[in-house]
Amino acid sequence: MTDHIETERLTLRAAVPADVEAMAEGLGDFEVSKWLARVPHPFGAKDVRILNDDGSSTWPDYAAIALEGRVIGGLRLIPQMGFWLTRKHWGHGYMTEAARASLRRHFASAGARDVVAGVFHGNTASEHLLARLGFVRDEASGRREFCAARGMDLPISDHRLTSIKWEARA
Amino acid sequence: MNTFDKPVLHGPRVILRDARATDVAERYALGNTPEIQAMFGADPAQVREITPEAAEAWVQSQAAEQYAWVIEVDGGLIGAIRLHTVNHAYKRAQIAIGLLDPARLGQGLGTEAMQVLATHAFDTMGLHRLGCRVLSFNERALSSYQKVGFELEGREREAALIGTEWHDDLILGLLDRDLVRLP
Repeated sequence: MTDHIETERLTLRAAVPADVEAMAEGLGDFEVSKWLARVPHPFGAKDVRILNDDGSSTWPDYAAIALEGRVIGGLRLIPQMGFWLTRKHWGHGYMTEAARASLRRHFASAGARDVVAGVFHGNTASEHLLARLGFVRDEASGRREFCAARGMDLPISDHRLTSIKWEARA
Repeated sequence: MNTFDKPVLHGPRVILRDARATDVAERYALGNTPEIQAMFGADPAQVREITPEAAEAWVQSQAAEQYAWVIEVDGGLIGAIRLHTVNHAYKRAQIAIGLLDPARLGQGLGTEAMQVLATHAFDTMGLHRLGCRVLSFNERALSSYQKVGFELEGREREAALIGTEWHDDLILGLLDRDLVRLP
């Protein structure tokens, strides 16, 4: 397993202690955390976790996304896809670029599982991003999930990418 | 801000109405009570003081859902209630309620709000069945739902992960003929 992924503009790698402040900046923005399930608000440096609870590295399950050395977002595919991007970096295709690289690696292994992302209703930016990547929204399930930042549960839909769909687009 | 034309529903003490802009300040004032948030499935360790943005987002979410009402008692906001997953073909929906004011718990107001909305769901919307799920440790809610006429229909084992612990969800159902109607 490589210890990082380079894309045209970005590096996907393990988060390190020096990233805490940048991660707190991005995740401390309610416009970001209101679309995430488990990031409370307010969220500060002391809330950032760069290791799993057992002390192991979160890489490669969770990738910190760095632009010119500074973390601007995060991305995981397993067990559920989740991602965030610091607001000032929205609209430049960074998450599309990071997700493509991550999905390419995921689907390169034999028997790779489908990737599923839950999206709270109203998060059109993420819906568009997933559609561009080939994800298809599952039949409406009526599922709801708790959003820590808002302190309430919200309707959520799963979006799924199968290996067949990914390979057809690649 | 309001997309849907929601009727105002009255009980003896509660009023169910659409959210409005002035609810933001009231939602902010109600704050986040860890013990209450835990009943919604929040990890109490992750509950923070409410912020103005979160209060506004809460009110907007009520307005954005077709079948969500805020609950008002004595002119003040105490929580919200809604139907979701409404299926007209099978005449059924899910119902969910959240009371946010710790001073208003234990007075039968949630039970009354459920009775008011269930009456609307059956008599006006023509539904036949309401489903509901509740975390197994939420005994106050379970007892309230049973007063409304809900019956326990099942248990989804370890359906909710809160912090690092799994909890069961109880599945309840109410048929139109079993609703305990308000006098």
